Amino acid sequence: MKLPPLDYLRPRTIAEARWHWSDREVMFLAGGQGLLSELGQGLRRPSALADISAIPELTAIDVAADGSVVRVGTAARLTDVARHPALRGSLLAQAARHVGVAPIRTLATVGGNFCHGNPTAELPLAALVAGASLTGFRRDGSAVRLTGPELAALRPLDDHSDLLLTALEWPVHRNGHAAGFAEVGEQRSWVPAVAFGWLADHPAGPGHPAPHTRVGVALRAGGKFLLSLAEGTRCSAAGVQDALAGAAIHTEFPASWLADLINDLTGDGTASRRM
Amino acid sequence: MTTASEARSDRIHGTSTGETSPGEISTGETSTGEISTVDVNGTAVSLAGVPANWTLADLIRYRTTLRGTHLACEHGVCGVCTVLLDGEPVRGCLVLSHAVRDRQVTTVEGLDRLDADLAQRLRAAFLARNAFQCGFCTPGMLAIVFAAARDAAAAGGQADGDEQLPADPARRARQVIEANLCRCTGYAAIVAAATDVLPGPGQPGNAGREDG
Repeated sequence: MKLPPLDYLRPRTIAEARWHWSDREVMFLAGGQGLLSELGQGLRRPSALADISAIPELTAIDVAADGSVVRVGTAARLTDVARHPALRGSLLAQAARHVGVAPIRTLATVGGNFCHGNPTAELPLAALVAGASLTGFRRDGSAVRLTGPELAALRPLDDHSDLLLTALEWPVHRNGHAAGFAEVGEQRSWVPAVAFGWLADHPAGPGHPAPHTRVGVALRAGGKFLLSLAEGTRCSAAGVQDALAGAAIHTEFPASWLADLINDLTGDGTASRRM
Repeated sequence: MTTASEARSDRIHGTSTGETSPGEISTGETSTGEISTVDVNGTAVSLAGVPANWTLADLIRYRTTLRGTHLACEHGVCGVCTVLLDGEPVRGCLVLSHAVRDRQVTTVEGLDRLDADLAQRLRAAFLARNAFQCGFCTPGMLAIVFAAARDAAAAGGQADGDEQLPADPARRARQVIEANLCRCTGYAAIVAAATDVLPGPGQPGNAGREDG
């Protein structure tokens, strides 16, 4: 399986990348861990790839001056996200560790996970739960900010090529928080059938806001895809249970199985299961 | 603006443009006229004439005499093309050769350059455990276990690159080699060999067992 004939472009700035974008036959290449496979299978036929993986503005991970947000360039590698001190313990870092296997994460990028088109992709779910947003440009030059369900709506065969995503803005939870991420895959596939992410804000003491837990569930079952977001008013395991009680996932699997999963989710946050 | 922008970006022609027809080889020069190279096991491999659609695995297979990097699925699943890029494991079939110019690639033949002691212990463990049948997956397995053992040793046995490793030795080994496939299904021996060289929690390294 060889890649089809194409040209390789290496823009050095976002401005250069946007210039190449004027050619509709040009596709952006970041980590290439999904795109190159799709090219080899003949699913896409660009005339050229514009490699944006070395543009400094797109690879940087920075904390905003006021400390409220970590700005993660969309060409940042997942392995860098998982290791970055500013993201230690975050739902984003935990979700990043669940993507593929180590050699894939070495090159796979944040933006690629959003554009990969897998309905149970890890980062869109984590971003939805955490209230993160994606910024970028449309082909006409207008700025765009995606939040909420829009984060999980990007599909490679739709019109996402009309978007150049530049950064994921990840909120910093100042009061302390706990987070967990888990996936359940099918035996015959590496693609997870279910992905869960949860994030709980801890109260720091009297007078602080009530604890709050948000749980996201991305589910593939019966040939259908479901993405739901549930919220609870307690922290950690209890909050996850509260939130899942109202989620559609509750009707799809046995209670004992779900209880085990919650234990995984609220344990070390690195659980993966096969069903 | 158009001319200036084009001049700044490097363009490597593949085989689809008007300048070249399918099957022809491009010049491989950057816009500044310099010839790009990739460091493979310490040797500069020229990208001159390398088509834009060649992967790193293609470059290694067809532009060097190194044959340890194998190709099978060619879409990132099997792991037989695993090499180290700047010391980190990557799928050689999912990286364009021109995208790694000026970077360091280590194939299974070059592991000694990074850590001769670890490479030797790794080979000894695979031999002792008879951790190969047909041998096709072995280079990729050696590369992935090498990278994990080195990272785990650097992290006091706690981590493999970006992920935490389980405390149980066999589970640690399975987590590391889950990235690669063995069509002979000789996983038990491979797990045993990987277990021998992966340092446990708190250990800087493992001397490797020779009890077969």
